[in-house]
Amino acid sequence: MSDARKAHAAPPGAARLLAVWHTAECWLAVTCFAFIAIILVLDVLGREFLAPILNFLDIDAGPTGIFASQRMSIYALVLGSFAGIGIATATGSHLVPRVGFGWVPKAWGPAMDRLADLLTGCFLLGFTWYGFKFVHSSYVVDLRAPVLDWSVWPFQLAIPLGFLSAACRYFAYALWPTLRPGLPEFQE
Amino acid sequence: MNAVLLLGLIAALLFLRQPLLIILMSAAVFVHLVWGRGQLDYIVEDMWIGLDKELILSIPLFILCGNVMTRGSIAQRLIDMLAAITRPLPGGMAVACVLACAVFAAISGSSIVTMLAIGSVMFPAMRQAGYDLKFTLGAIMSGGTLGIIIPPSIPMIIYGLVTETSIVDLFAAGFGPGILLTVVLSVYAIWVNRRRPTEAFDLDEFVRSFRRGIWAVLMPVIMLGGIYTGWFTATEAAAVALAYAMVIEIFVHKELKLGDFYNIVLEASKLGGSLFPVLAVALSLNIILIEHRIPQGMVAFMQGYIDSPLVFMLLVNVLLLIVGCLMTTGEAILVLAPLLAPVAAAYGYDKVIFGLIMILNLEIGYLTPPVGLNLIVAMSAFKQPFGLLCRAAVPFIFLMLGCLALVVWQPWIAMYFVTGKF
Repeated sequence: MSDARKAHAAPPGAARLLAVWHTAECWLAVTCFAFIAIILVLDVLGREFLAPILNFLDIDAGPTGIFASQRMSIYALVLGSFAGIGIATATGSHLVPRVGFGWVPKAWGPAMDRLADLLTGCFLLGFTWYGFKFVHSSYVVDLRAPVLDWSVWPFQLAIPLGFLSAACRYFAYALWPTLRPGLPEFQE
Repeated sequence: MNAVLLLGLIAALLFLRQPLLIILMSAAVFVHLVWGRGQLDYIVEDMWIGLDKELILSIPLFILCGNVMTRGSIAQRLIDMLAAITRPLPGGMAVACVLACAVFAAISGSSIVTMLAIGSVMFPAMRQAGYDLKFTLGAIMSGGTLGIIIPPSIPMIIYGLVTETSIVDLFAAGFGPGILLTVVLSVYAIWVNRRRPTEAFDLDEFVRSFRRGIWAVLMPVIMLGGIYTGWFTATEAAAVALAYAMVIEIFVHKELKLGDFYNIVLEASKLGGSLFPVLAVALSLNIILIEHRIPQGMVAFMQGYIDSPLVFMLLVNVLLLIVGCLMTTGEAILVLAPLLAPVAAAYGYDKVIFGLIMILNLEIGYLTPPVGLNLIVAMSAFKQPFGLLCRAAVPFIFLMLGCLALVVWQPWIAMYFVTGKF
């Protein structure tokens, strides 16, 4: 390992922390997306397939769909998506326009990447602050979810927390570039 | 002056290698600070409102469904079945390649997934059968682009969300241009390979491959049939498709274990994590633009210079073809669709047909350097030099441009499946 790389090498604890953090975000996102898939599939199957069969058999089983399935799925989507910001950061999956990559000499690439990470972290931290402001205002007025009548602020909290998670990760990459995932060869 | 500053800010962020999420957020901040009241927490509120749409749920479901269906041997089954049918044609294997891409496109909403799934089977098979290398690459890369024009299509859903256009209508409008492209590419494949020997139709082979492939073929029939007949909404169709895909892959093809579901969902989560926050910001920016009447301002500005709808459409096509060379489809739709769709509407172009024209343009962008994704992916998937891939794509790009011109000239090709009228 060169001296420059050694100087930027991350302490093992930092790499471990990011790995554990990534696993936790993956599980949260997988749980949310699996929930969406299961609840919507069961709802549609109940309404479109089970109900006609029960009707045909003259059985009155009441509503066969799942109450407020789409509303619950929306909230799961918000939780999963904002956990996904961290996952996309950890796996280098964010959409990054590469138009400007050629505007500087190739040798400046690593320095530009560090600057980019620092700047992205700062932007995201700023948005974390405004996200918390938004959630606080919802909490104060006790904004409730249509149909479900649940307080929505716990779900909205996913937005600033997602930004915060990604911001911290970008700061870690700016500090220890060896932790930074490479950009994928292509992004659709 | 402020507009120039905004463009300068975007250029600076591109130079500083910022993700699209940050670029869009910064644009939203700029609009709030310069034209609004500087309440930046409104951006987050608008993001929340933007995501609070039930239609958005169809995206993770279609992504999951595509991931389930592309894990096993669906592509091989489809190819076997279509190859058995097209064997008597000159260049039958090439035609089977195009048709398999078209059928696979009706399962997957992605161009790259379609190209890789079909290409990984067809590239060695066509090369072994003696097909020209350049033609083989061109057929696979262009066939792959059908993934975003034949419904279900993730870019169509994104366009529908950011321009508030019916996704069911967009899906229906995708059939016509999808069929047109499939026919044109197939006819070209026959013409190029007209001197190749043909083979006799083998009924036994067809029946055998039909038995193996029928479950995969039925999926788009159920899903798109359900949407088109009005039995399902787009979200319901996506849910049914996912349930069907799971049942087929677990119990019929026996190629998926429940344990694989974690990786499938994780892949969808990765895509969701990069897509949904960007989508939320784009929707938030859209709300601000509408509040500040920016699209109306653009309409007035454009109409001050351009009277003719045809000239407008030609200019937009040139713009989109250039954008397609420089940006990915998702980026281009998120940034440009909310601005261009209202202007197109002012020139008399329905948002549905404009969406189709936009996606057709961006579909060609998959084959044009430097950001032609199918070229880039094909480079590593088929281990071929970039220059050769670019040259291989040229005749297919011209064919696709011809189809685009035809749809612009005769919009009923797309709209017939929406309005039922020529």
